Amino acid sequence: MHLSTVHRPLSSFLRLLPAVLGLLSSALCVSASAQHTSRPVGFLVQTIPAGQTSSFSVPFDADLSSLAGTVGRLTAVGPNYVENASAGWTPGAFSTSAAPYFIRLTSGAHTGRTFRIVAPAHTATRLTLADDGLDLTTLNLAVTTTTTTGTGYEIIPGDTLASFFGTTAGGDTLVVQGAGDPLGADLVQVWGGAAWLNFYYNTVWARWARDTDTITDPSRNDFLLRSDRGLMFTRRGTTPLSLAVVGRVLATPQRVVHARSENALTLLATMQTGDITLGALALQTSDRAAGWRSSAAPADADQLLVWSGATWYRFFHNSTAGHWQRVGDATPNRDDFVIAAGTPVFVQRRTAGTSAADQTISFPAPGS
Amino acid sequence: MRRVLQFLLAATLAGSGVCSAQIIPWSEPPVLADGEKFPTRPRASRRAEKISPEEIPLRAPPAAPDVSLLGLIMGSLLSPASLTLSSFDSSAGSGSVRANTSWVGQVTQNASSITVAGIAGDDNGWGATGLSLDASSMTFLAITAQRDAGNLAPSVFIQIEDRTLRTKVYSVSTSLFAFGTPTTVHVPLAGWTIDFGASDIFGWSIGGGNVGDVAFRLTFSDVGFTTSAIPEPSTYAALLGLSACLAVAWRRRALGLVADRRRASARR
Repeated sequence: MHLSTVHRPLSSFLRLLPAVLGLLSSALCVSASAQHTSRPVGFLVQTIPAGQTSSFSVPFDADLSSLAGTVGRLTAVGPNYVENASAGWTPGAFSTSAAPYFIRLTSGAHTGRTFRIVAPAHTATRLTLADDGLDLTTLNLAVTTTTTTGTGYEIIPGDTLASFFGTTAGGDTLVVQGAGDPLGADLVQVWGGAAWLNFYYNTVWARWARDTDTITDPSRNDFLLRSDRGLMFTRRGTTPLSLAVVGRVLATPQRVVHARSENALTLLATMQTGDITLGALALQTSDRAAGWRSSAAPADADQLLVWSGATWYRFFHNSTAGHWQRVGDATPNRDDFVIAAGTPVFVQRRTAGTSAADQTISFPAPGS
Repeated sequence: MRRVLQFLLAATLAGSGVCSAQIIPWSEPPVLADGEKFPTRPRASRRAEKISPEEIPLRAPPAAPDVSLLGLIMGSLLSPASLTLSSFDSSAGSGSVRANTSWVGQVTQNASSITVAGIAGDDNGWGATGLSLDASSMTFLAITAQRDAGNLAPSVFIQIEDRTLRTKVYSVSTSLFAFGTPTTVHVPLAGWTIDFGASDIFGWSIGGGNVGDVAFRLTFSDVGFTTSAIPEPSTYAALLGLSACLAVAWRRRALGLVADRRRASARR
């Protein structure tokens, strides 16, 4: 999106004035009734060279769902559910495996935190959430009462392998190269927490499959691709693959949950629509990551890994030098190392965290 | 589960009357007058009283401690239910080297274990898929392994996958595995969450959980789930206390019966 300046004769402007005023007034009415502002839309093209592997993430939200009640405020919070007494949701509409949805908190101390809406099917007023092993009541989220304003939320559609990369079904388009076996097809790798889950589109079975699957295994079409996670993509085709993604730019900083068991790795989408440096990402600061472990010794420090195209660059924050540094690098200061838009990063924490705050990382709001 | 067992233990003891504890209220020690010696025995505790034979209470012969009950309780604590993911033998279903990992060509299959050596890195290089296991009642992950020379990987990672490939990951420090000696480490599962199908485990993998950059040198003997770790010291203490109570009760009862018989025969 970009703005351009257009010069028109005054008479033309006067003829258009009523229509312009009408549009403005209607826009104001819509804005006032919805009580939120629309977010800018952007697009990003990421190219995977032929025969190579790239890291990949989508720094945008999908469009707001056309289903009702996707923006509101919480009126109650339970261990693994949230409620809005006046939501009027269509029961079960947000918790199907083929069309997953997430809820993002848009106000309060946990702004930017996202939860997946899961089965059991939700009701008109209650959503059951995958709570990442935490009791949601421990987050102390504000709820609407006669005297307080509840935590704001928005419901955003999620993606699956089939919805994001397509299929060969009628009316759909497969944007990657499929094949009858995983060695001939483009490979999508999702980090499972300790090992990769490898997927490809099996053109014989006409469905997404895991590389180890047999024909009797279930379809992987509905495998969830979390928007706050990255993935790896191996292009097996003989031509580069350019993937263009369109979506809404985030209005709030993204607060993502990551693994806090000892030495665990999580591949996180930073949700940055532009390039950002390690210094600007500033994970060593307490308002970004609780208890980030800086050290002069890489083995003791929390680490951040970025895919270089053929290997992983490992970085750590050197507490003695006061800057980011690459493991084994003779040139110490890497504060200016650029992480390209749409590039996910592995985060490895050395020690376990226990509180809700320990388990999240807050990335800067895009453009901030 | 352990908490439930401990509750059952306490309820069983209270209900059976095998061992009853009394709370003795604390009182200030007596103040002695000048020259008064503190009595070495309670003053009224050994006063004999004459009673008629009819007054001798009828007592059942002292029964031996209920070893069947004790055995049941100890058995449930010491023999928990378990679910094997892999015994790392050469049988089918024990898993195999995962393709495209640094473990390819670096694993030696022993009779009942695998040894990871060579240039294997700390990625998850061994595992199995296509399973259908119900681990919903399991509470611990148990890994038996030993550290071998040259290991630099700091952690062992287990990744569990359900049928829809949602994952749970558990890690444990390699320093908990002894050098050259198989050691079993129990990792608490801390409860299954709503977004994971614990009743339908489809696959798993084991390794360093990394993107592969340091040497991984371990020998694995067994990995699986269990309902209880080895009894903790508190559990051993409870069992010891139970045994002591039973022994004391049985002994006192026996001594009491002998004394009663002596008193009765003396009166005759």
